[in-house]
Amino acid sequence: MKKVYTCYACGFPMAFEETEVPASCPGCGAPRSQFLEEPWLGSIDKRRIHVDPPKADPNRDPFDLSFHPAKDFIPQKGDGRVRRWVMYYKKGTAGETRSFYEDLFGWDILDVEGTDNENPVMYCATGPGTPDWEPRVCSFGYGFLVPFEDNGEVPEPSMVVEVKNIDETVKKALECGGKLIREKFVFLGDTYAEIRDSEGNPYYLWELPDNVPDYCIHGVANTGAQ
Amino acid sequence: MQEKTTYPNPNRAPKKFTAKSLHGRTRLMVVSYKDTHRFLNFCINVFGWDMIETPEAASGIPAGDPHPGMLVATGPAQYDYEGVTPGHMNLFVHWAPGKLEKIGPFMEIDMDHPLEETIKKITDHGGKLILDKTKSALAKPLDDSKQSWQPHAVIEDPSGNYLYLWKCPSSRTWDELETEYDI
Repeated sequence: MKKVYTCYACGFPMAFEETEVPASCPGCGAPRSQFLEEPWLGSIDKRRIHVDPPKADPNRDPFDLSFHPAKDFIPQKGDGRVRRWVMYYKKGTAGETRSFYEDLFGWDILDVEGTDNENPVMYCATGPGTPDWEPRVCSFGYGFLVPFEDNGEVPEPSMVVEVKNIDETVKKALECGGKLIREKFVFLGDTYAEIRDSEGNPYYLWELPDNVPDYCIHGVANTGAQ
Repeated sequence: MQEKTTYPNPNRAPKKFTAKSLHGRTRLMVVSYKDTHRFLNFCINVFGWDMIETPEAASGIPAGDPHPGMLVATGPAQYDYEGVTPGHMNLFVHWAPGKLEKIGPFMEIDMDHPLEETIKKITDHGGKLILDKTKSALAKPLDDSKQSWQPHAVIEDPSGNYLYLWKCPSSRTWDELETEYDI
């Protein structure tokens, strides 16, 4: 019989057949004994058990990995957000690459203006977007497919992190064991740099000093548990 | 100033994604690390990220392991570390027993079709199923028999990028904030 299970520890609601209930909460890892259960009435909206998620503690140890609600990101004004992914494709295979992602995964791909017509940088919408090509729904992202010369070495995929000040971010990265790979450069009118983190993972830094995400103006409406 | 975009004045809007499906959405970024404290120190002090140990249901790793998986919020997050505001991706992080994993998207695939069917379409288009754990610690044989929040398959695209594919369990209620689609 299908039921709604709500985790008492984090508030995560899920609907399962009784035989398929996981041993622990996929949201926070709390054991099955922490699940509150009620009948499935055809829609999650009809559930009567609602658990308030715990509140964020601004004084918690940031190195403590035990379950806690994520911190308030509004004061960072977007600094540190991962905004795009970057993957690469072999020069001369733009058509095949586009077909692979559009046909198999339903993406919408735009050639970036000002890049090589034969081997364009491609900007990829992977889900619902706004008229100016930003993701419209939470918890997914858009990204770039960038051409590379196929000489046997495939460039490392990366991601684009929004920062307010590249120089300050690079300074902190170097202090924390990172490396500067490429000094500041301009692409599509914006300033970027490339770094590696302490482990060797590559990141592009995208400097957006005046950018203010909408949630900093209007606040975060809810956290999903409602 | 409002949100900075890549294309403030494009000639057209992106297409409508009208299917009741998250197939193809790049949900998270997969990143690996070698040293737990060193990696945390970088994430916290350089980017201001926040993170929890990935629950065993999503990592396959028991709680308290010295090399935990991590869910990392890079911006506002729901209680389960899904993003809560549009425009940023959170991270699915795991320890790399050998060399670092290739960064790549944790991409959702069709939850209403058999896993094998989806993978066959991809391999018929030139993708490769990665099974060698020395190439990816997340590589595994296909198994569509269990509800799981772990990645279901690692695919190499024709240019050598890795895609970490995930098929959502049937527990999805479509009430979740991230399940919105175009009408």
